[in-house]
Amino acid sequence: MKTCKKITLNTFTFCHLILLLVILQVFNLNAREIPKMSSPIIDEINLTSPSFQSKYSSYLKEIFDKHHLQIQILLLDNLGDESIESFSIKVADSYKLGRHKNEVKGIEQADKGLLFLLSLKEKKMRIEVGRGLEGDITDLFSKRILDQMRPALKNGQYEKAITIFLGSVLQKLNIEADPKYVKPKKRNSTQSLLVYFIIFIFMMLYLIFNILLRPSRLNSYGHYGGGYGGFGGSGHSSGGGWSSGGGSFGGGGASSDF
Amino acid sequence: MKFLPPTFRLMFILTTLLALTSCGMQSIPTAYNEVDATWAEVLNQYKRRSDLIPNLVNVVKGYASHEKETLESVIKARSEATKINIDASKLDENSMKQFQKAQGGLSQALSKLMVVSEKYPDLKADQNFRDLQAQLEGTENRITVARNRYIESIKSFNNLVTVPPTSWYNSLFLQHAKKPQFTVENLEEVQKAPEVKF
Repeated sequence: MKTCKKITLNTFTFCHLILLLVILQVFNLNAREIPKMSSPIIDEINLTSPSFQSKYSSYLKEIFDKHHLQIQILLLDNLGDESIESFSIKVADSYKLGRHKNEVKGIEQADKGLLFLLSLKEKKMRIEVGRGLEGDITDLFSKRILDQMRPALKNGQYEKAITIFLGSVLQKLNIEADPKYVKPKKRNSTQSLLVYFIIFIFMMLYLIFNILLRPSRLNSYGHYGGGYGGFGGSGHSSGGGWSSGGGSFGGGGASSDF
Repeated sequence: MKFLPPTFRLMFILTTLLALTSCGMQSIPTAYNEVDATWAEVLNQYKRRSDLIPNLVNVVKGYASHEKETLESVIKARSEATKINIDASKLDENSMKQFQKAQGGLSQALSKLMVVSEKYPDLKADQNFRDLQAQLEGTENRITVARNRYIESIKSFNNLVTVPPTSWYNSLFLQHAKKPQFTVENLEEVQKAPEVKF
């Protein structure tokens, strides 16, 4: 009795397994596989020149080491049967761009990942924004970047579009872009005047306070620059490879046609 | 061990085996919390959507004031959807159905509004409207992602609760019920082919 029951159970589970494998196989046929995370710029169809790729790959690695901001650019031929939104969240989840919060000091350094995905056949593009950047790079801002890139993409100037993307992202995040790679944007003149004016006022205030409080408080000003040692102290190998950092994504960003 | 009777010995070995293998002592509560968190994210994203709607309605009103019916249906659907906020611990088939019905109604009303807005070129060109549209698109995508994550977490929780050996631990100590899964809202309407009128 007992053995009989066992055998039927086994064949039953076996059949289920086979069925599951068949179903998985069918799904696999339609799904596009995620490219290997080999470098910051993955260009499957050579829309950009090799020199551009190597130059900007090393620049993006440098940004990642310095600012914990991991930017991935992925240029594809087609998406298979998938929509760009579902494919890009899959890629972002598998690459885990940005650092995990346990790896960096402070939560504001974590999950700073950014993916730009472009598919030539469908003429679709998308910016996928990591959780740590959602406050700065909102869905709306992503859409605006895509709008800025569209004219260049329509003319086939993929390299120019990527530099536009990098320029506006770095500017938004207050990271000073290297003029070798990204052309600095003209600052709004009234805004910079205002900034200078505020700095001037603060300096005046500082001077006045300094003069007024000179005898008693002078010593307490001597203790600056104690606490923070800057970047690079957490044991990451810098300037090396390119791999997933452990960041997480929540579906932020925008997609558009070009 | 020798002083114990054989039945006790067997029981001893069994219990230690259960404790050593993945019995569900850790994995079930972990999965339970994961469900809580992913459900909170779902609610969060739906809330984000309903926060956008008043602005959207105002902008559309400025250009298409005589689409009163559509606008009112959006407002009504929104107020109905915001009424239902379910705690993850109180989720069951029934409340899930209610929640999905309310949010599905809002989705439909919104898509109707977007179709209507196609008729007004001035509205479509309005920068405010375009911004809101981009935000709404983004939010809909976030909702999809949050729902997918919830579905995944429910799947792993239900697996732990129903599939042995972890299910034994659950039925002995925790007695969690299976959690309801997301289903497609208004299945009949989806299956019906859309009517096209000229």
